[in-house]
Amino acid sequence: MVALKNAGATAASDRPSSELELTQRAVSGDPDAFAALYDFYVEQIYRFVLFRVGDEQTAEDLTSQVFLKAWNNLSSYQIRGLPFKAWLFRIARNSVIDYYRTYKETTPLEPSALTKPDPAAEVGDQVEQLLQAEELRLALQQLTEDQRQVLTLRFIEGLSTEEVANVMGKRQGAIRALQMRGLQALAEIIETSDE
Amino acid sequence: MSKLEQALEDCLARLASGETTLEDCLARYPEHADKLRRLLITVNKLERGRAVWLSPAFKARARTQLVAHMRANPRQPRVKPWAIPWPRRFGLAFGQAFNLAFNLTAILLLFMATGTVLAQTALPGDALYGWKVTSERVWRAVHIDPLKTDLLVATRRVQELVQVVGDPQAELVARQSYQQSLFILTRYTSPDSQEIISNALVEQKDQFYKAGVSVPELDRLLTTLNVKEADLRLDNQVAAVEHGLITYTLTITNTGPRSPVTATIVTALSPVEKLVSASDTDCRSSADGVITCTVGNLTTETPHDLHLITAFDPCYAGIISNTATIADTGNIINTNSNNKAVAVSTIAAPFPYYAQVAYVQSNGRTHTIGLVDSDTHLLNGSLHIRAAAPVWSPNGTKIAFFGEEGISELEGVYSRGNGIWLVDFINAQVRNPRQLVALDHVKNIAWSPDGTKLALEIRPPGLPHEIMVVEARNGRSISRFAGEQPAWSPDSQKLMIKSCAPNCGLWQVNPNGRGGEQITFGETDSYPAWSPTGQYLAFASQGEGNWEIYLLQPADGKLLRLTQRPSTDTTPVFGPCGQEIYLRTDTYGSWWVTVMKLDGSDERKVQEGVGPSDDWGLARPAVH
Repeated sequence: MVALKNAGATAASDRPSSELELTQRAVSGDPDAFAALYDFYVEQIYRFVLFRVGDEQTAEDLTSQVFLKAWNNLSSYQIRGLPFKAWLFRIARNSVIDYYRTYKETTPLEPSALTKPDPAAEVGDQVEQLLQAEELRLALQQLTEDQRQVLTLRFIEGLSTEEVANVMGKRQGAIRALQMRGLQALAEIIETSDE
Repeated sequence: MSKLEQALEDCLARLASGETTLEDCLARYPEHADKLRRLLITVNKLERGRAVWLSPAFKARARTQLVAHMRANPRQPRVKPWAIPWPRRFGLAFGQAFNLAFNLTAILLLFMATGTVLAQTALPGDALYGWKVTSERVWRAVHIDPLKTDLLVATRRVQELVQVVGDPQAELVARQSYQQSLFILTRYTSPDSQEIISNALVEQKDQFYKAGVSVPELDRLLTTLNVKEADLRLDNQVAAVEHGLITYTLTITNTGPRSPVTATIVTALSPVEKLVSASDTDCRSSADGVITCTVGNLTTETPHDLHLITAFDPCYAGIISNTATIADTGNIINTNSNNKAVAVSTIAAPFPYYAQVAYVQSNGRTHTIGLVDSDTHLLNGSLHIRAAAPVWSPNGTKIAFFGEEGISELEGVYSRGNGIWLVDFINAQVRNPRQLVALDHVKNIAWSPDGTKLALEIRPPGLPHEIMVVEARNGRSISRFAGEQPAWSPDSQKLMIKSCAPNCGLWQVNPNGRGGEQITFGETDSYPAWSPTGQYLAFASQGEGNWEIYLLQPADGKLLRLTQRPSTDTTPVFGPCGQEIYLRTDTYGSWWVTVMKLDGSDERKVQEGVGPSDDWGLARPAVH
């Protein structure tokens, strides 16, 4: 078993100053700064959306929309309020919700939806990654919406409990509870599928 | 928070910081170890979801889209003094720190600048290629004219792709990069921008074309933008129709926007045409009559004329339609209907069809062969002296005749004397005489349509008529049998002869004289001649009082009398296209060769003085 590491668990208080500066510049209308923020967060946003919608093309479209919306609504963003990252994920979350509202008949998740593993991985590892990602996605589909969001944000995107709480607009205690119940349910689902 | 939740949070934090291992952490909470292990393993599986990778192409594309969007929708900067970062420490050490920072920054900038310069020549697959692309993004971000930058970047991608073609991995990257550039260009929707982009894409396509690189995405985009690289107009005119030749003038006009261009003109000749010449050197003709000409350096200043001369079947009458097309050769997107042009020639049926007529004149003692054409132009009044009973080879390159008594007086090769002689026919002159068979008393010579055999009539004084068949190339005798006035069937397999054995009339026999079948039953039916298609059999007959010309359709037995007059009409011969009959007649006071249509109408004089001759078998004209 690999060592557990939450690389993205960065508290709002000790966010890299460069990120803060970029955010400040972006809010001031600097497109280059916002583009840099895009570079910084696009992978995470995409993954979050992909695990929610399951379709690669839709995930790409929604990811693009997230950043366009973010730019359009930067005037509503307060530097001293919600961390930019959480704000961005909130936009992503709302975009996914809007997507499901618009397309109630969601497309069944195709096995090919998660077919882009890390290109740096060896071929054998890539295959393994594909299987794992697909199994994971199918397993997550069986959780409640809130559980799914919490586990995705928390462990796939590496947000802290506080950041997840900010994104979802809930208390941290509620997030921890959702996390616990989600992990327990997911463990059971995975174990059942492994038998 | 429950104890299990606390234990989970604690382990997650410790594992994330790397200060413990799973087993160590489980040891800290032995009462929850089993549940905790299960949860942490699940977390581990969740974290593997980070291996899902976002395609760089999409990432770049979406970024470009975002930057374009930001430029189109700029935000007004908010002046917030509190947001300006101030140095945390502003003490005495500021000057030293500033110097250090300045030096480091200078070194960094120098490194960046050097790397950026070096990266500009990088190709897909090179280590610095990513740097190059990144520098372009920066360049684009700061440039005041994004379209100009995007076009320059696209041009770079073209050059890269052209350079790495053949290297599969690098080519794949280069193609993706170029496609991304195209995608960016599609975002410009204003007519002015699209016009600029279209012109640039045309140039890019030309570069690819020259390098032999196909980029379907570019073709699709050009089609989508309805880009005309060069709109070529093609006109196709029949400049002249004369002497069996059609001259086409194909005018290709480049109406731009690009100049010069190279075009390929394709035209399929009708089945009755053959290419004689083309004014452009880069023309080729296929076996099925398709002419393909590559015309280069088509400028917008000067239209280019391409002249094609074709020869049509001299026996053809009707409409000849020629369609010429500007082919899409890959460097020309020509959606204009003017890239196809049709020229129509109407070939009227002449009367008579052009022919050369070898006629025989006699002074009562000797014979001379002369040459006249169907338009009564005398070509050679003395083609050969001491010669009679002429016959053309099927291809018109030779004439065979009977060299009569006295030919040996011509000396040289003619010292061989009487017989069947062959001469080559060149420009209304005869060359290279040679004796094929040494014979006397020969007349009514017929050359088989397949060119391999000659049939002739021999009638020594006091002896019965005989027909002799010889090989055309060496005179070797093939057969000899009773009969007279032989005429070959169109397929060269049968002979029509005059015979009275057992009943008088015209008989069709094999070349060996056997297998006879009587075709006509008139005692005087004479001088048979087949039309080239075998539809008609012409002959002369005295059955109704004097010699007249008859036309029989063997298929249905229909017989038509073409002449009906008190004079003598004899020795019919079909014209080369089978549409008229040449004959000898004395109806005009002296002996003439005349020509008439197959219904006997429109008789025209061709050559006077084709008599007298005591033997029509020597004086029969030959027509080619």
